[in-house]
Amino acid sequence: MAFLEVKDLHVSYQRAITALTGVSFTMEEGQIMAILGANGAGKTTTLRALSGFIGLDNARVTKGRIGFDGQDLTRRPPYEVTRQGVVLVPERDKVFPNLSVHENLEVVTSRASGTRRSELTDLVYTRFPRLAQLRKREAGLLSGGERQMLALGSAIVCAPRLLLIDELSLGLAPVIVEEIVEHLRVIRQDLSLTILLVEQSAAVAFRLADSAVVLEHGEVALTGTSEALQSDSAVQNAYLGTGTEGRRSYRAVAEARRLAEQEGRA
Amino acid sequence: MQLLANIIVLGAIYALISCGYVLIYRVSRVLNLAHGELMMVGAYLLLTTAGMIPNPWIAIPVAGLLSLAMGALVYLLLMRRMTGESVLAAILTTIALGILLRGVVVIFFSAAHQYPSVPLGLHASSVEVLPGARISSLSLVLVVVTALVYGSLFAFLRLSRWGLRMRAAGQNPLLAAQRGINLHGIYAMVWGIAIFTGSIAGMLISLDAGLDQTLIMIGLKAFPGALVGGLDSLLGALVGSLIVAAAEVLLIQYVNPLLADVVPFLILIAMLVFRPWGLFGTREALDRV
Amino acid sequence: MSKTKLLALILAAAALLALPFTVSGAWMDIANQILLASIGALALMLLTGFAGQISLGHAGLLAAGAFTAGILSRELGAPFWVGIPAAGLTGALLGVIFGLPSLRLRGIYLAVSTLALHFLVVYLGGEYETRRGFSTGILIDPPMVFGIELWDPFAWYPVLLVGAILTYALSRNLLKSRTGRAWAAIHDTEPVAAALGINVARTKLWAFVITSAITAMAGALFAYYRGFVSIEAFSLFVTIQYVAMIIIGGMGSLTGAVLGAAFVTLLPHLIEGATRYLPTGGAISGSVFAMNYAAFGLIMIAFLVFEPGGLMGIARRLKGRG
Repeated sequence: MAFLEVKDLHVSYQRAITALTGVSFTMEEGQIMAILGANGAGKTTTLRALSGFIGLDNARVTKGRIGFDGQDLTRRPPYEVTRQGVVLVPERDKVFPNLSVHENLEVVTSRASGTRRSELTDLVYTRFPRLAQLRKREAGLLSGGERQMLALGSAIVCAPRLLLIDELSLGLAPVIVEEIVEHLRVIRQDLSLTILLVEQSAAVAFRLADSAVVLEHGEVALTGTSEALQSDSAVQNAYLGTGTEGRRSYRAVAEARRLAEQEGRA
Repeated sequence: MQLLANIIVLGAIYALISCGYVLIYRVSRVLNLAHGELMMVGAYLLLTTAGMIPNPWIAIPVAGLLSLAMGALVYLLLMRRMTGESVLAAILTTIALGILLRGVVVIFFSAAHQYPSVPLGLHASSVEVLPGARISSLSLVLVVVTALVYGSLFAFLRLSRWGLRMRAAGQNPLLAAQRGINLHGIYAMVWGIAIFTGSIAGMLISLDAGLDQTLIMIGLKAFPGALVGGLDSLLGALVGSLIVAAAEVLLIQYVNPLLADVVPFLILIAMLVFRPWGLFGTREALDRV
Repeated sequence: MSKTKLLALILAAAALLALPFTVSGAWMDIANQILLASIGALALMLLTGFAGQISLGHAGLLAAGAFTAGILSRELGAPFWVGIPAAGLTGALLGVIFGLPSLRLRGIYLAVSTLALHFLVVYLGGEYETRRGFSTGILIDPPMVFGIELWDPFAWYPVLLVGAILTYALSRNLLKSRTGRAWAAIHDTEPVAAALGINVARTKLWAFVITSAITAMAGALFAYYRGFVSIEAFSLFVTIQYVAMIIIGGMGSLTGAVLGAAFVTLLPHLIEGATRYLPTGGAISGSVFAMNYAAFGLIMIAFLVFEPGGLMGIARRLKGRG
C-alpha cells in the first residue's frame, strides 16, 4: 500500500467557487512531489483537504478517501491529522503574529515526547540560525523570509512524516527562496521526510520535486516524474505556463525587486 | 476615603466578572451574553453545596469545581455546535441559554431572596481598610480574590503551556488546529475558567448581599468594563472595570442615584463612539467580527 | 399568482374577517397581541433579516414610541392621529442614533451598542416616570379612531389588522424597491456593495431609520391598546422575544416574521394550558413565569442549533418533499 493514497477526492465549499471533483494520486515514502496547475485549479484545496477542515472553513470532503500509512485520514480534524504526522505549512497566516518566535515553536502539540520535541526545536535552530537569533522577537515583526522559515520550523517541531507545503516561494526574493530550499533539503535528509508541495513557480517545484501532479479544474490532468514532465514541451505549454514565459518572468522580476527592498529594510 | 474604598470594591466586582467576557472573547471570538446568568447559577451551586456541607472550606471549592465543569459543558454541549455559524447566531445562542437558565433557576430554587451565608455560618463584619473608610470583610475578601485571580490568569496565559495554546487559538484558530492543538479542548477549557471566575464573583457577592436574579444585572453591568478596556485584553478588563466603577460611584454620589443601572452603558456608548477597540485592545479585533 | 395561492389568500382573508365573530374576548386580545407583535417583528426582520444589521435595542425603540404617545396624550391631550406619527418621528430620530454606530461597527460591537442604547432609553423613561410622579406608569385614555372609541379588543381588531397589513405591504414594496436591493447588497458583502456604487453608510442609516420608525409606531399602538405605559413592560426580555420571533419564523422572510410573532405570542398560553393538564399542575403553576422562560430559551436554542431556517425553513422542506 502506498504511503499516501488520495482516491477520488471531492471537496465542495459553501460559498467559493473552487472545489475538487475527483482527485487521485499516490505517494511513496521519501518522495518529494509537487502539485502544479493554474490559479483556481484546486492545488491549495487539495493540501487543505489533506490537512483537515474545521468548522470555520465552510468546506468539506464530500466523497473520496485519504489514506496515510495504513490509516484513514478522511474528514479527520486538523489536530488529529497533525498528530498522525501529516503537517501543513499554509500559504498565508502561517505564524502566530503575537507570539514570539520561540513561542511559535513551543506551542506545537504533537505525539512526540518532550525530549523528541526539544531535539526537533534544536534542529530547527541549528538549520535556521536566523531563527535562533530572533528567538524573542514577535513573529508579526519578522520579514517574509524569516516568517517562512519559522512556519517551516513550527511544522518541523510537529514531528512530521509527510510535510505539506503551500507556496514555498510565493512573495519571496529569489535569494531567500534559494536559501530556504537549501535548508529544507538538509532537514529533509535529517528527518527523511516525505514532502508534497504546491508551487506557483515551476522552476522551484522541479528543483525540489522528483515527480509532479498537474491539476486542472479540480481534477488530475497529468502525473509523471519531473524529468518526463520537464522534457515534454507540450506539457510545458499547456500546463506550466512556459509559453507565456516573457510575461511571467517580467512579473516575477518586479515582485522580486519589491520584496528585496522590503527585506533590505527589515 | 469611603468613596475610594467603594470604588475599589465595585471595581473588583466588575473586574472579577468581566475577565470571563474577555477570556471567552479573546480565545473563541464569542461574546457570551449568558455570563450573568451562568455566574448566578454558580452562586446557586454554592447555595446547594452549602445546604449539604455547612463548611465554607468545602462548600465553596466544591461549588467552584462544579461551575468549572458547567462552563466546559456549556461549550461542549451547546456552543461547540455554533462553530462556523454567524456572529449573530452565536450571540443569540448565549442569550437563549441565559433565558433558559433564568427559568430553570426559578423552577429549582424559587425567585426568593436567599442567603448562602446562613448555612455556612458566615457573618460579614465591618473592616476599616483606609483611615475613615470601612467595607465589609467579605468585600475585602473579594478584592483579594480578584487580585489573585488576575495574577493567576496573567501567569497562566504567559507562562503555562495551556495558556500559550489559548493565546495561539485566539490569534488563528485554523493554524492552531494545524499545529496539533485540539480547539474544542481549548475552548471547553476557556469556557470552564471563565465561568469559574464569574461564579466565584457570584458566590462572593451572594455571601455578602444574598442571592436572587438581580445578580444577572450585575453580570451585565460588568460587561462595559471589559469593552472599555478592550475586549481582547485582560489588563484592559481590570482597568476598564475600575473606570466604570469610579464613574458609577461618583455619579451616584454627586448626581443621581437612579443613574446606577445606566452609567456603565453610557460609558460603553461613549467608548464605542470614540475608541471602539478599547483602551488596551487591538484595532484588528474590530474587523475580525 | 397561482390558483392555489389565490385560494389560500382568500381563505386567509375570510378567516381574518370572520375571527371577531367567532372568538371570545380573551382570544380576541391574543389575536390583537399577535398583530401588534407582527408589526414590530416585521420591522426587525427588515433590519436584521434583510439589511443584515444586528440590533438588541428593539425594546428600547418600542418603549420610545410608547412613551412618546403616552406623554403626548397625558401632558397635552394629543389625539391618536398625532400620537402615532409623533412616535414614528421619535423612532426615526432614534434610528439615526441607533444606526450611527453601525457605520463604524459590525457584529458584536453593533449588538452591544444597540443594547447599551436600550438601557439608555429605559433609564430616560424611568426618569420621566419618577420626575413626573407617575411612578407606576402613565394612563392613556382610549383613543378615538374615525369617531369610534377603541375601548375593547373587538374595536381594536380592525385597526390593528389594517396596521399589520399596511406594514406587511410596505415591507414588501420596500424590499422590491432600490432600497431593498441595496439592503440585500450590504447584507451579503459591504465592500462589494460599495463597489457596485451603493452608498453603504446611507443605506445602513436608512435601514435603521425606517425600521425604528415602524417599531416606535408599534410601541405607540401598544401603549394605546393597553391604555397604560410603564417602563417595566420594556425589559431586555422583550428585545429577546422579538429576536426570537425572527429566528423562529425564519430569517429573511416577511411571512416568517408574522409566523414567529404568532408563535412567540401564543407560547405562554400554550405552556399555561399544558401545565394545567400535567399531574403536578398545581405545584408548578406558581412558577408559570419561570416555565415560560425555560421553554422559551429551549425553543430558541433548538431553532438556532437544529433549524436555523426557522418555521419557514421547515415549511419549505415539507413543500419540497410533498
